[in-house]
Amino acid sequence: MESDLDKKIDKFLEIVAEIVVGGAGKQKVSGFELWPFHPIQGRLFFTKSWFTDLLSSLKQIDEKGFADQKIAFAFKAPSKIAQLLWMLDGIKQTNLSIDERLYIVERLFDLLGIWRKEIFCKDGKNLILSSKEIEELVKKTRFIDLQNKSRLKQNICILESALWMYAEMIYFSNHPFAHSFQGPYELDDKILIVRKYFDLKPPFWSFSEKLKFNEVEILEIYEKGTEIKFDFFERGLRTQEPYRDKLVGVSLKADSQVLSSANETEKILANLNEVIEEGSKYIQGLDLQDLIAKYTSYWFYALKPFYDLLGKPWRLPKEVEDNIYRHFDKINAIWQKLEEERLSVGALSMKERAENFKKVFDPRIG
Amino acid sequence: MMGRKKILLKGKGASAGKAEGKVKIILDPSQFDKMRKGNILVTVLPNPLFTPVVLKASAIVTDVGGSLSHAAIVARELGIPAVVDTGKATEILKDGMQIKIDGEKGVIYGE
Repeated sequence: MESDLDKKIDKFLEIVAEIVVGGAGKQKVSGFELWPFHPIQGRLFFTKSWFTDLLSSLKQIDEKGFADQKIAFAFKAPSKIAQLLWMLDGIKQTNLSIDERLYIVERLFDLLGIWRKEIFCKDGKNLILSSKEIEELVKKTRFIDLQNKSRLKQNICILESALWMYAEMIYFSNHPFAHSFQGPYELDDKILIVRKYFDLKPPFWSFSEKLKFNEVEILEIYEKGTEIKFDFFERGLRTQEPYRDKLVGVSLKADSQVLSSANETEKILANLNEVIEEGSKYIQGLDLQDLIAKYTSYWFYALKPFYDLLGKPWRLPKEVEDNIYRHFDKINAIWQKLEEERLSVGALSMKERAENFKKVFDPRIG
Repeated sequence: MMGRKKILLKGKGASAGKAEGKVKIILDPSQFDKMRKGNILVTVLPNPLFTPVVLKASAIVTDVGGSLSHAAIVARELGIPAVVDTGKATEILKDGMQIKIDGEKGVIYGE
């Protein structure tokens, strides 16, 4: 009989196959021109060390007996845990045993389950809060009615787009490391969406220092019936229908400061635009090795919550730096071969491609 | 406003809505200066570098991409129409052309 973990892995593989074959696989990865390499190419330099680090951290955390809730909440949002599972397509490059792989996957599912009511975001719902918590949140929040406030409404839309693009600029295809989209929560005659942006000033991007805030929280009220959906990785709103006209109320916070006027939102937008402009110029000026080093940094930075719990300083392993700066050509040559294989997958039928991706991501085989 | 219109291009409707405006073809950041507020951004596939021009656009048209591409997601967030995967918008459309786009049907009209 299939175990509970097997069922979860099967479900996860279905989701990944759908995403890769149904969406992202059909196009170049977003941000590809800014980050001129394929994510798999970048991961060749650190996958093995990363999984070793993840396994060792999880084991130490478990040995110390931390409660799952404390571990899960050390990550600021479920998206940051879900995103770690994107690395599973590289797990076969490691020397981890099948048992060790399954331990990692099971623990990540456990931690996701602390956050989410249903870990796979069934029916496009990413529900974190209980009905009672929602009730309390709505009671204590001062929402701004956006009727007759078109300038503020426009600013909110621009701010959210700019934050999403900024997250993509600093975390490339792994932008859910910087945001979480939650809901939709049913209110009496409306729906509530919670958007959180965080880790906007990671230590490996010097230009981000100029950003005047590290976190933004936006609570949005939409008309009842507005179709808004999320997926397992919380990569963005999965909604095709126009939904912005149906945004009727909002509450916005940058760090702890509540912003309630068009002028205030314009100020933070101006600051964000300035940082985006400076950041994009800076990133364009980096060579491939430096870009891969940055890419590597944020994958290890994603493990920082474990380091914090263990009271260890976060750092990039020395062997990974060596891979990037001392053995670059040797490791990069592997990519040429992988790229050929990857392109050959493109010739398969959609069904065959889906099955292929399931095998690649499946920690139980190979 | 446009007079008699004909279909210039078809792609995938990625963000519903209609918009009319002047085409600005932006292929790389060196061309950002020519974009004015209200122009229709026509590009191959915008990436985060394009943030300043995306925020000025009244609509987005791209050569490649799907409904989950960067351009599509950002357009829906901004509440502006987008047509993606046209194949050759950056070749067929020219700077300054007056066009109308239907982001639901994925059609670009011109005179």
